[in-house]
Amino acid sequence: MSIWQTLGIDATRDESTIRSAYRQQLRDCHPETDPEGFQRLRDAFEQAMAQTAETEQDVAVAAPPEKTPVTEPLYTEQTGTEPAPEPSAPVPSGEGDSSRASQQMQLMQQLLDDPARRLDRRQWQSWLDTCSTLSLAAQSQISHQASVLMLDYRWLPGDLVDWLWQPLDWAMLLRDQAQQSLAEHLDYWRRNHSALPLNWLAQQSHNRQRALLNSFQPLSAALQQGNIGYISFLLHNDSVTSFEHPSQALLLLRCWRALDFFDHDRAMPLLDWLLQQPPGWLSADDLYVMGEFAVRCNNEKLMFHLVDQLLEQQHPLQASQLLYLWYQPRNQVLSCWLGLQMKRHGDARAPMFWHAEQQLYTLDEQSPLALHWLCDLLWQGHSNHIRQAQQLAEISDCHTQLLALQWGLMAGDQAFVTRQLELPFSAPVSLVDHDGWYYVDRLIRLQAAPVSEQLARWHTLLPALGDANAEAPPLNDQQLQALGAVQWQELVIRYHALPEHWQHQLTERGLINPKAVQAMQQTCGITPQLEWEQDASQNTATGAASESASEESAATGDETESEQMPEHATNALLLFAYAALPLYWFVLGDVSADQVSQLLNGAPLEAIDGLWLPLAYLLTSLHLTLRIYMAQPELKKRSRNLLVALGLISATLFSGSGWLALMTVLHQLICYGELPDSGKDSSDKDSSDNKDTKG
Amino acid sequence: MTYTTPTGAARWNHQHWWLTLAAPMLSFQRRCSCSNCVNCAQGHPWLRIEHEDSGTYRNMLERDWGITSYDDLHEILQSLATCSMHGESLEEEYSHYACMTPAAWQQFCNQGQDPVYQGLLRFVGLSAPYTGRAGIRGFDLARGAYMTRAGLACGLLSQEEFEFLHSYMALRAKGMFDSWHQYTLSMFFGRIYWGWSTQDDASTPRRVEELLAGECPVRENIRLSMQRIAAEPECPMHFVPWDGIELPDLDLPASMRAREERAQEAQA
Repeated sequence: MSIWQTLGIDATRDESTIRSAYRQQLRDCHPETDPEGFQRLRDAFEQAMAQTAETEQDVAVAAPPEKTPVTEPLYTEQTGTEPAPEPSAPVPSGEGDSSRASQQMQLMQQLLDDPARRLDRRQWQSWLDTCSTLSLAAQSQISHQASVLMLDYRWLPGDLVDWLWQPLDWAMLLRDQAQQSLAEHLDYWRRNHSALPLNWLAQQSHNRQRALLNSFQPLSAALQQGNIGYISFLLHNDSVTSFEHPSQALLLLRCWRALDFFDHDRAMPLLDWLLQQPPGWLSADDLYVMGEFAVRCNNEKLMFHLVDQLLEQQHPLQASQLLYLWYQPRNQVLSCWLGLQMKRHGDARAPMFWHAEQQLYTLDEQSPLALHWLCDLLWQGHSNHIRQAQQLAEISDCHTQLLALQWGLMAGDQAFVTRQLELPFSAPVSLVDHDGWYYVDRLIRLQAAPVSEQLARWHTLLPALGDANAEAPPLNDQQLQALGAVQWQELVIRYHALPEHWQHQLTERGLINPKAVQAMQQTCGITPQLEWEQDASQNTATGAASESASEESAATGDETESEQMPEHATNALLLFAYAALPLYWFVLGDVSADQVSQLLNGAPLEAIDGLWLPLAYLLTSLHLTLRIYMAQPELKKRSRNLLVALGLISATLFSGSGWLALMTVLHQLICYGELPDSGKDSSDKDSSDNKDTKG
Repeated sequence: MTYTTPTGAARWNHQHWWLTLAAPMLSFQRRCSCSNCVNCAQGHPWLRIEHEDSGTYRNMLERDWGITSYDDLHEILQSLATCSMHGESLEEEYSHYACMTPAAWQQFCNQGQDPVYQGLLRFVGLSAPYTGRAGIRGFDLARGAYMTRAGLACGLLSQEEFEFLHSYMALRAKGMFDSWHQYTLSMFFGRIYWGWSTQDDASTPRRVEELLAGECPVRENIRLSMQRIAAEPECPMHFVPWDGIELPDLDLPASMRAREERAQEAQA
């Protein structure tokens, strides 16, 4: 069988016909399934190509090589869908290396000359795949020749160079002193990616491509390098005259922005055009840049429209940044609120930004409490102005509901947040569509969204949870690893009543730093113990957490008891809420139901039914009441607390929970009666707890 | 001899504008209420230069800058007026910031490995919204304006030189900034950066964190200065308009040209 029969064609010198035939035959004899047939085909292909190369060499001796004529159409609608040429199978190194390298270079030249294909990465990948089948010597030859050839096409975007940079190992040229300047140029070039979409460019004619790239590519490169002087030079020379693609408009807007040139009449037509693009075409960054123009050109309607788009696309950070930009010189209170939204949604500006911003605000004793609270949070990161939810009720502000929601989020009181979210929203007069307050509300609710989701799951687990505090077994390795150091630290800072032996374990493992935790607890203003420790006669049980506790009671059908409960018991419930929350969080943090069972003294989830839950609350109340008060030196003076405890025991007995409950309560009394002594003599943690409770 | 701003038909003219250039520096210098402190500019009028202050100014120039002669002063003034003393620090970074969106800038900041440089990028990111793309050049210009005043008051500069230097710096400031507020903040951010950079262990992550937290040595003075500017109705930044005053572009005086030629000859 002749080589031409193997290839399935008549004898020819046409390289492309041979390649095409080879690819055709290759589909029927894969090297893995038919190695002999593949070898036969490969041999036939190589011989046919060798004959072609010999012919070309003969011609080359007679006359200088001419550029391969471009046979592809200059313009095609199908660019990008054209099937990429298939790579050749590996070629052993040998005599034909040089000729094969030459062939590849001719193919490269053809690719570069073809406006429809040269911007198609798949075409280049296919070419590179073929190159990779050649011997190392041939590849090295191609690498060098390709780097030189590229210089004839300097107007092309850097994307092409970037595609070839690694496969052709042009980085190696950087180490060659003779080639260093060439390599540096290529390295610089490859970073300047096209400012216009390549698939759109590929549909343009050669001349149009060149004109577009010549005008926009330098502008894009200057922008990328932060070369403001050159941007100014290019724009003053009117290098950009017409627009055919929205990317051009975006680039120009970015350049004007860099020059601080916000001209309403020139920018608005471009912005209108961009807004007509299909949804999702504009990125968050694009929308932000457009929004900045809307702000600087004083176009409120457009600014709100862009903010709406950003929020629809789930970009609250950029939305809040735009709104801040708009309101900062217009409305001090709103800008404070929006500044806080920026921070809460991930704006990483350093404290000094807010120190500088501080100069723009006037804040005095007459300023509303809410503003003091907001400014503290902006400038210092924490505030003691509103330490408990009770204070919120005293603030007569049309935005109290927003304040309460934000306060709950900052305090980490998820139950309180949920309660606020569930309240019917009473919009203040100014809170109408397309008003800054409307967006503050939306941004705060976006912050609260994860809380809502988490609490929805929490409610499903609520019946399964009991006393999470002292009786909780030690954390095992898996549980310790369920949260990262940062999460543990945050958890412990937020919830003082996390079981002490857990905190010891965490400290031993290096997951929390007790000193940092204590410092943060003191500065965060989330210190229920301090409130608890205040004179009980003040009856501050209307705080956020007590509301959450009563909510929990309601959820378990124990509403009447919680309403009639003495103040100390309510406060104990307050603490229970804080104690239980981390467990919920922990449980929801990728911990399985079995692990939950382990946490709950090994009892299976099914065993904890609705009857036990009120009992668990009462026991926990008693437990915490006694624990807190027995830890105080003035225990004797507060004997009335024991009466409260007895009342609770009675309530427990009458609730029908039986002797087991009584035994448990007595057990708790016996255990915690020793707390004061052990607290004094034991670890630093205990002493720090005492300090906390003393305020 | 007393240099006072002339009063013309227009209420505020370019000379008022020139003299306002030094206002942030004057405010910063008014750090105490004593009358004998070398650095104390308490009592110095905002829009008038009195030669009775020559002793104080001369002491300041010698003590803080080591300037004892005409040539010394001109050398310093040249680098201040062209913003090449400290004003061009972080110049490239401020330009990059201007060309990027906040999100892109955040990404750019996170690319670098060096925590100190990352910190400086963050410094640029937080100051650029106030200073604009000119960065901290206002620091050099404000000092230049203040020292030009001092030079005139103590007789080291002629009035012609004083006017030329002010016209040069005024045109630069006008081209770089949008308002007196932006110019002032540029000066103060420059001061903060300078305060950080002069520490022996400036290039440590701890110092950079301090810089970003606003815990730099001069922060308190800056805060007070801003308050003073806001509180002092006499500060000309409150009433001399940034826009609307035509600023002349004066020719280099013969004395300064002769000095330049002398310097070139000396170099040759």
